[in-house]
Amino acid sequence: MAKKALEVLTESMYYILMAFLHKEMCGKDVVDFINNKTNGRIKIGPGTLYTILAKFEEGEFIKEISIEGRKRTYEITNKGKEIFEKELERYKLCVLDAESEEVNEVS
Amino acid sequence: MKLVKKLLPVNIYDIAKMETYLKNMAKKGLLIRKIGFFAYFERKESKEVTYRLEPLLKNEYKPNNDKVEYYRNFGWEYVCTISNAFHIYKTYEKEYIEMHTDPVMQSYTYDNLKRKFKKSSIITIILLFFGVIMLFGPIFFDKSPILFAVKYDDISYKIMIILSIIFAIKQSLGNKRKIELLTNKLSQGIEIKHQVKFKPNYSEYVFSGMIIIFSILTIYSSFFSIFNRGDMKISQYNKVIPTIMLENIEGNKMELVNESKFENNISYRYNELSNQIFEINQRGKVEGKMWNDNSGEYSPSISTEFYNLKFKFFANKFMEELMFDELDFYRYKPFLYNEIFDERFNRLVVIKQSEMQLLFGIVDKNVFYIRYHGYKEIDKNIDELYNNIIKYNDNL
Repeated sequence: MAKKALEVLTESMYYILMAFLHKEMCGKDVVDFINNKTNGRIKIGPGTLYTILAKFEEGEFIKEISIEGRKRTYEITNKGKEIFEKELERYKLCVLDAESEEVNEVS
Repeated sequence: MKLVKKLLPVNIYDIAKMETYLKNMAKKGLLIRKIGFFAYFERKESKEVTYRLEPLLKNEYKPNNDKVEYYRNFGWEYVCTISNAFHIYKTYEKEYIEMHTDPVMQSYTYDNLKRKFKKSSIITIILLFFGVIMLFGPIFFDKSPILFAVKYDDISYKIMIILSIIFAIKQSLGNKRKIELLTNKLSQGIEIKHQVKFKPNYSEYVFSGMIIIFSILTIYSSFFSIFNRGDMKISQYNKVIPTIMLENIEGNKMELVNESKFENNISYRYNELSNQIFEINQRGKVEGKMWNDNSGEYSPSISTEFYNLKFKFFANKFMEELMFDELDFYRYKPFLYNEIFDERFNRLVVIKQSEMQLLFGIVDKNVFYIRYHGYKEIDKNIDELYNNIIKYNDNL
């Protein structure tokens, strides 16, 4: 089931994975990162964040590196980076396709 | 603190209805504390509270402290866990962050619940299959289902079992369907609704009530059956016996035989389809008289089965089955079959084969089968039989 859940990344999953690209983070850091990055466009609820982190950990996209009290910190794995890159490529292609379509319409 | 107990007017698997109901109750000053068979509320001042139901994860019975703390940081407080299916969270904030902001991801939180429903549906269907075969096998496969039901069956117990299974299947499949529809929408990116109009529905309590009623009936019936049975010598029984007495057929020369406990014995019991079932065995001997084939001393006997049925409508069918069942023993030799038209009886049949005479009949709700083994004509004692049945009924 986990595999199926992670076949295609939803917007929330994509941004959460993005949050881990440059440094390890706890859940609250992830929410703050996404809030800043998207100027509040993308909201991440606690249920969504908790579920996605659990799925990412299960799918070995991230791994837990420390627990301080109730604060759990994670870092991205190579597998997680690969998935993110792959998804980024897909989004880029989508944008290129959409832009070329726009140009054709104008001409 | 005293809690206010209320019936739950919604199915907990109707998530939007449930969340709406809890919110409405909070507006009335009743904050949910726990839910079992009933819902228990704490009385406080009227508040605007938002509730969310979140399905349990695999092997999760209560949310762990991390999760509770985590959700609390976002303004969501854990309230309770219900039916081993959902955790309830609440928030007092008006500008709250929705608990789940990604419907596709949210759909996966229902995986565990869907697995549970799949298992329980399979189990209940298997239960239904075996339940129906075991409980109603005699009705489907027995040649004499009514006879079987009156003689041996425990109807309220069967109804209770079947109702329980139907209830379990209805619950299981109905709830499974609700969750499937919900997760289908979520996986398409459609967000869950949190506020809906609904009409109170207490059908689950009605079903539970029916099961409780049938359980009580079953227990009552078992006790009633224990206290309304007896087994004794005919001479010790001081009430009217609804049959023909052997001495009235054979006359003064016959003396009763009491060589075993089953001779000249009367036993009676109760059944849910019959107020009283009598089994009466009489046997005697006539000193100095032999059977015609010189096989031994002449020892006539009468065996009676008498049923005071609860309902008249199946008396005729019951007698047919009783006759069919008994005549199976006598099918190897020809017998004489006489249907006697006597207005006092709803039906009266006399069957003769050698020195064996069988008498089947119905008087209102009373069905009898008398087997006489001897040389006298049993149909000459029909008046006695009728009078005894009427007296028996008058004494009920």
